[in-house]
Amino acid sequence: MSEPRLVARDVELDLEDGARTRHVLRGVGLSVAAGEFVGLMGPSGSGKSSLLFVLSGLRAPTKGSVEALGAAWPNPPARGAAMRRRSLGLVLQDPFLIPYLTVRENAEAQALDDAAHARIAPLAESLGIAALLDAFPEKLSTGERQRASILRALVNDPAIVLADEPTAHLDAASGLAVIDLLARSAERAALLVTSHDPRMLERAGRVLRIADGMLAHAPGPGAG
Amino acid sequence: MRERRDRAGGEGAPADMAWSVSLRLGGPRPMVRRVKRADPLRPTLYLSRRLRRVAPSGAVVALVTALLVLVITPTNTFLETTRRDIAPLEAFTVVSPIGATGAADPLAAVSAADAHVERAFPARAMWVRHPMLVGDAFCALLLVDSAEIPDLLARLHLELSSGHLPDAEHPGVVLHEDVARARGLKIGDRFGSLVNRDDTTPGAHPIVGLLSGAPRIALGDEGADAMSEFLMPRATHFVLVIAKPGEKEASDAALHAARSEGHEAFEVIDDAEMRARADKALANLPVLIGFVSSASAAVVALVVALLAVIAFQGRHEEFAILLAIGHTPRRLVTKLTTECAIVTGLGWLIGVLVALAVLAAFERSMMAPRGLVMRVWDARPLAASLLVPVASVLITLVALGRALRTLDPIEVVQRRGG
Repeated sequence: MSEPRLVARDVELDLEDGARTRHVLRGVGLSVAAGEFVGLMGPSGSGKSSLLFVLSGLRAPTKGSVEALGAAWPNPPARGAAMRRRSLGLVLQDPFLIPYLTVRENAEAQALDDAAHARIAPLAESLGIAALLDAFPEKLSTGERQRASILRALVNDPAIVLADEPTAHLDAASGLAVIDLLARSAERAALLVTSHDPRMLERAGRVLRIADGMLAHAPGPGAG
Repeated sequence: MRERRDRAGGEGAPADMAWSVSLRLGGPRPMVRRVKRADPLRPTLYLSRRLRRVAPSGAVVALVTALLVLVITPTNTFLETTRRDIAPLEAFTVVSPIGATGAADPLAAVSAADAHVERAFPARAMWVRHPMLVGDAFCALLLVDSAEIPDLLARLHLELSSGHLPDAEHPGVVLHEDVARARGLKIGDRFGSLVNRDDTTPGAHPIVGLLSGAPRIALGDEGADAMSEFLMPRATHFVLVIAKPGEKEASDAALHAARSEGHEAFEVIDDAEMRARADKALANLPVLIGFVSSASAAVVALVVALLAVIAFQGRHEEFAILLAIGHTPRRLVTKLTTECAIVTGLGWLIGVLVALAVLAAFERSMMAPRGLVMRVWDARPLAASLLVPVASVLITLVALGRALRTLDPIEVVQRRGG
């Protein structure tokens, strides 16, 4: 087993919701190793996205800790910006492409160095959007936009890739194609994908279930 | 699994950290060829692709800048016109008795400065009134021996543009053409209190010629005009002192010293003193200009900052995702501030250029025909109007810096993504 790249230990997250406090995550612990594809399933409101934001260092847990590449995410989260850009690829339910930048420029906005810039064209080729590199997001279909956001997420060849419902706006066939591309393109990274659709996680080595902010392990189709 | 060399992770990524530490310690650098690439987040790219969104801010700054320059610049007319009227004092100094009794002899004071004086000769002096923006301005009318007039014109770099110089055959005065135009006078006309009771110049002076050049003056032949018997007793008896080449400053200093050493009955009128008087008379003008500029800049800065905040609201998702993928708030504030600086800077430049063009046309069509001197290219209004973009950028920096620091990318992502 490879060294774990992403480790969560006893993570709890409480959010203020008006006068009351919501316990969004409770005692979550998980570990994702390099080259591992972990799926995270759960119904809407179960805490999938919240866990992903905590794992990405964008939100500090109320209790517990999250380590990426052996180092805890800084708190406040803004201090972890450089580490996040370098080590993390983030794919969201909505692609959030910057509308006045082309697909290539959206990827370049994340690129850190010449190697990352050199990676754009071959990565776009493998994602099937090489012909769209100079197109603006408004000209793309939903699936093409999502692939462009995957290109941006992977441009630095990140050690960790987190994807939050990346297929939510796609039909089943397109969704499976996107998951396939993501899994193949990030095969060396620690990959964690959330989805409410079990079909999208068929390629995952492990599938974790989350309900009411608590994790319950479930074997994935590819689990040995 | 192959280790990634281009990734510097946290403390738990030994290979990556070693690479990172070697860079910090000046160790061997990896062989990565650096290519200068255009940053897609550079402010100019956004501005060129979203021109319509940023144009209102630029337009506000341009309009207010133009307004400020157009309002402030004409105020230099007071000083510029006055300076043109006292410019002849750069060529000579006037020593006059205090009061108009003629009892004291100014030549007594001049003798004290003999070492620096080339020539001194008597003159009668009066003023020729011409319109100012508000009230009147005055240029000197000197009545001297007609033989002195060509030399004085040469020293003043003035030329006879039409008519002829006054002499025994042509009694009268030569008048600067700007003053003549402002007064509506031409060769053959007469001016003075005997012609027009409202005129402040004693006597009646026929115009025999017009002068052109920077300094403004009127020169006439002493005792040659038809009204000399009436005029001479009323015109103060002065002495014009012409210093040796390069010694005017020393000559003026000697004259002032002589006055303080027993020749108190005389007054020394030189260009430095007259400039100081003019500056003193207009000393409060900067207060007005400062107030107008500051108030305008404050209002415009708030408007521009408001527009910037509104524009920022429309770019929430852009900045949320940039924060989420690892751009620092500081870098994004710098990007936004630079965008604002470029827009307001360009707006200021356009406003200045428009104002200068309008002022040039205004000066030609309205001021010059009235004998008013306005300096179109004036640093004061430009400096004052600079407050507009500077204040706009500063207030925008504060407003957007606060907005970015409090922007929660997760909230934005979840609002849209569900």
